[in-house]
Amino acid sequence: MDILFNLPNFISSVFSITTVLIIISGVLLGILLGALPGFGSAQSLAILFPLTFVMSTSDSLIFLLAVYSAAEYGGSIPAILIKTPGTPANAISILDGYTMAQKGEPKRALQVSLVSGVFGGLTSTIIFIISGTTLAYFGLKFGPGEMFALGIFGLSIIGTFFGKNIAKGFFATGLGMLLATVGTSGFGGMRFVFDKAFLMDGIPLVVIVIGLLACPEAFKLLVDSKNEKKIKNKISFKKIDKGFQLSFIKRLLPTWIRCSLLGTLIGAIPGAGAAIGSMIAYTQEKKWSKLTNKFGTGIDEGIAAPETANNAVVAGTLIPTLALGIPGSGAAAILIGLMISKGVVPGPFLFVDEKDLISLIFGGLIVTNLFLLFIGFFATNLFSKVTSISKKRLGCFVMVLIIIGTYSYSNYGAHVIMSLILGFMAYIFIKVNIPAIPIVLGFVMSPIIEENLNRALTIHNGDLTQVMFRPITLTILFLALVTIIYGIKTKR
Amino acid sequence: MIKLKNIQIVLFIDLFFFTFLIFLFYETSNMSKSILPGYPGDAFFPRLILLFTLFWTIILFFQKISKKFTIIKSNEDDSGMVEIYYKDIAFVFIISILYISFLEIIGFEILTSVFLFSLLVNRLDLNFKKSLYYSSILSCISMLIFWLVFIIFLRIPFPLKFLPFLIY
Repeated sequence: MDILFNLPNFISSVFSITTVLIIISGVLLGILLGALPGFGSAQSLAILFPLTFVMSTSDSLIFLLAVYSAAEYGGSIPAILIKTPGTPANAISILDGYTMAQKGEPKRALQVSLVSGVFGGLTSTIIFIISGTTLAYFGLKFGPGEMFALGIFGLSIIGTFFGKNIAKGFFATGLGMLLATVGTSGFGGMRFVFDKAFLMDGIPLVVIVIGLLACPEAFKLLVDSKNEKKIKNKISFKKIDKGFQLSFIKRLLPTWIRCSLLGTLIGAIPGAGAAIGSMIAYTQEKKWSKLTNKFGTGIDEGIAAPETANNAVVAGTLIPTLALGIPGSGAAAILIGLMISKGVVPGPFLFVDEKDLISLIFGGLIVTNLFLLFIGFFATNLFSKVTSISKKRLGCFVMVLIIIGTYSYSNYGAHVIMSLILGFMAYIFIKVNIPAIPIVLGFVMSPIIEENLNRALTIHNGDLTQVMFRPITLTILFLALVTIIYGIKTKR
Repeated sequence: MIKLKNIQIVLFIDLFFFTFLIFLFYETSNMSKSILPGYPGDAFFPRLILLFTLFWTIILFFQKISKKFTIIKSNEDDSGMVEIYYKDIAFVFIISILYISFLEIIGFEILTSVFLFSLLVNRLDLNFKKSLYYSSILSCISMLIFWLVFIIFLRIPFPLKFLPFLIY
């Protein structure tokens, strides 16, 4: 809570020239990448991940958070203008956003989306800092057994809710966990290295992130888009379209508050993500609003509801990610990976040992949203041009960026080849609805789970029953089982 | 381009990984035994994951081969066809491998330009002559941008042949 009361100090700490430049570039790149159809926030973070190699921990975190927040807004641009959502989370914004644009008010639709997103982002940041601190306080009381159980609970949600088929979700999660066991065991032994030098140190996270998240998109852009017809962006901004007016605030405020809370809550559930958040926010707002029958006809509330929730998910996802070390989404997994690679261990101790970093993340998120509002508001026309970029041409540059980015990690060609192989695998997986994000999440979670399990077993002399049958551990494991049974019963 | 049934690909992936996971399970027998009291050994956790993943590959297999399999059912529709542009994929894959294999010998500047040119030339929707011209220019300019970002600003030591590594 002390972090919240010192808000002005934290915001001022963010206002160094370097940090401001990092935030601005993060926001610009995030909007641009998010506006590209197919590029979600996780993909945007994956492709920009190599740029953080030379940055400090705080700068790299702020940069990726700025990209993450901006990409969620950027996805609404093609959804509203060309009926093609940039991210799955923006798909629902088509209903009212595209309709409003077709009626001659694209600027209004884009700016309502922007202001709603920023409101959602700011509100959820404040909730994040309050609930994150509280959750970390409880997390501090957990031993390795409980942390192991929490990891299993996180995996149960990820496997159950990612994708359309629970079997595929858990299959992918298992593969990710297995990839993480390659290399040294932490106790001197080697696992699954097959006498290959490039496997001795394990598979680097950058290879997994770029290979499984960015590479399939590059293949899609290069190969699948080659035969697609070019979409002509016929939307033009007319003078009658005055955009967002201050008078809208009073009318949209109840929608913003409801959907911010909903988005943050959904974001805090591992595996739920922005797509589910915006979908639920839209359907719930349709029930709560007085304009129920007008939803889908191009009204402000129909854009505000999903876009507020969509951006509120960003800080919501950070709650379990930073407080417990459980990533809730692909983007959160990249953030956790980044922190681990920089020597920062996410989890409850982060809120005790790295208070300055938490403050900087908090201040960074607030400032990012303010810059997003400013840049988005004045560059609406400019960003709308992104939708007319040819996908197949873009694919060429994305592919080069992927190769150079992976090579940059350790100047090792084998890593690039590993990324390409994983990318091809993920490309085929995605075609047959096997989700790739649980592989990344499984990869990030696996060492955390194994480390806690080993520690718990060592404490209890190798007796697994003593680890499992502690009250809190048992309760969390029971919840994990209930989640899986729920997934099976609902035939996901 | 080849068209395959979604279910065929899923079954292939499933059986491939089933066999591979069995092989990996066998491999765990070569891992170090526990040296610390309480520590279950290097093979313990991988075996847990292997059993977990094997369980779901078996479930997936039965889901796909039998509609009567009702223990863990899925509402997913997998009757559709999947288009795989194998020639394009193979081309991208091969030139990417060539790019990384010859990077040290030929150097970043020429190889990046050639790599980009080979990808761009078929994707510019122009006649052949114009396409050659514009893709050459675009690939050279882009190479310079990548050089500026990754080598000059980020100081990543790529093998260079004629461009400088430091300009400030």
